[in-house]
Amino acid sequence: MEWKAAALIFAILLLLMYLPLAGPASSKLHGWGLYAYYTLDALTALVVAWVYRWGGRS
Amino acid sequence: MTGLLALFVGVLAIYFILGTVLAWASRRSLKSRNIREYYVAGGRLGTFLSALTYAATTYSSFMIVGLVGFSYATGVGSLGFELSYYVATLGLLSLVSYRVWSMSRTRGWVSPGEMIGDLAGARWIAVLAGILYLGALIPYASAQVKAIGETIAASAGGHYYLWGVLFGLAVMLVWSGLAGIWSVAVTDALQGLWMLVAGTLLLAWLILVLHSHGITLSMVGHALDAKGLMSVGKGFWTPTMFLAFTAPWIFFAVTNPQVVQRLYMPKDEQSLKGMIKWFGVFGLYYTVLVTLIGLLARGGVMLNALNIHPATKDQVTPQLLTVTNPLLGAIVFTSIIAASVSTADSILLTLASIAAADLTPSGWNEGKKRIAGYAALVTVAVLMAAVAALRISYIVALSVLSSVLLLGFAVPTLALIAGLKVEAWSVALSILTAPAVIIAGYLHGLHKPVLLFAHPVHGLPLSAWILIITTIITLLGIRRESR
Repeated sequence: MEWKAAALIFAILLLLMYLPLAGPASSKLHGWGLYAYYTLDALTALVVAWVYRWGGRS
Repeated sequence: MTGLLALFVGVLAIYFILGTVLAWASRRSLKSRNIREYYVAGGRLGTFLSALTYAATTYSSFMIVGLVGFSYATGVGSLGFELSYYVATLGLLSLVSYRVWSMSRTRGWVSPGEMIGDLAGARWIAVLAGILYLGALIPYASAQVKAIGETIAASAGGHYYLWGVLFGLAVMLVWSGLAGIWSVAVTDALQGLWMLVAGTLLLAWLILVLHSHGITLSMVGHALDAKGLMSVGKGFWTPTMFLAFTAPWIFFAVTNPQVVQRLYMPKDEQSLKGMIKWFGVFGLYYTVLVTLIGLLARGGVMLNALNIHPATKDQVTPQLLTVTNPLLGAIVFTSIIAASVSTADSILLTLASIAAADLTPSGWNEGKKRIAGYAALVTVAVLMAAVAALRISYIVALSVLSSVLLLGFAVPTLALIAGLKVEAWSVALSILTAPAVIIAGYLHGLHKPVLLFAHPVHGLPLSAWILIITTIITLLGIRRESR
């Protein structure tokens, strides 16, 4: 994966952390569903870091 | 001494003896007393130590005390706030760590100030950065020592507070002084594992308590939801508050010297990758763990399964220790101290390295720099303990500001790491922006650190303004040939 693609994906994952604060999303995302949403977002970041080979060159 | 107190002291003694034996044994790894070896292990740390020292340095007692309390009091938004830091850190480590690590080896960096000064082409930038790091981090590290005193005072009685601070001072000096980063890294590994085990056991106990009362996860969720604790956007976690809490921490991996310095330490590329991987696993697990403890404890209280009455957020974990199994209480109590020590002694060693590498005259030889580093280690440790011993409440609030104070480093540091040529004046203005904005905020009536931290100006918190201003300053300072 190219670094620009990785940077874009991490930025999107970070922005998704703010999404539940938005009006419509705020009323729909709540309870353990919101807990799972945050956790899945972070888990995806871990997977992206893995696909990006943990920051290593090779 | 009561039986319970004896148990707590006994487990704490086991932790101290175990850590000191490991620190003593780590002296074998110290090949020489040159400052790159002493402060960054000569770039020879393996995956296990690299990952655990990164995690234990990053995650202080804020997690098991502060974040548990935050989750208890403000709900699921605490998870979003802490995981925003996590996602940003994984991203930054993935994108910049290899470049920082490889340059640190070819250029022989010891301190993060040295890195910024070197990349900006001006040693005076390293001196300025070093002074700002010291100013921002001494309150933060003192708050960790204060946390040790408060934890011991909460369990043994208020008059033991000073003994707790002295214990913290002794542990920091012994564990960082014996073999520099080698003894800090091995004790960080012990402490990181202790934090994980203690947190896991506390969560398991909490689940058993709820289960024994016939309470399911769904019932806890409904009870918390009814109080507005399982949603964000209103209540405590308004968009402005969420931004105020997340913005300073998003760039933690490149603004805080104690973690930047850890990128110089892995022995090879595999260890660097392993460091990021296992930090990632540790961070996600530990964050989920502590927020679940806070939420389940609140649910347990609301559904009458737990009898605790914390008056403040920071009392939730100490009160849980009083109602849990005594041995588990002693293990968690020690984990709080371990989390504080692992952060405080890492900051202490980093500040000593800054004094040795950046704040000494450039003509000094290794021997003189080494002595300056030792002197700084003892002086800063005593200063941290002295500030903590005063037991002034606003030290903790000031420590909250440390990440805001360091936020001005984020944009120029990233630009320099990316290979852009940034003028030294621009770097200096950027890193001075945060202190200037905070002073301006103070002069305009924002006298409490928490107000400086969260108060919106034209709809945005000060931390967001610092990022906007420093981005403009850095863009103006980029030399044409590097654009």
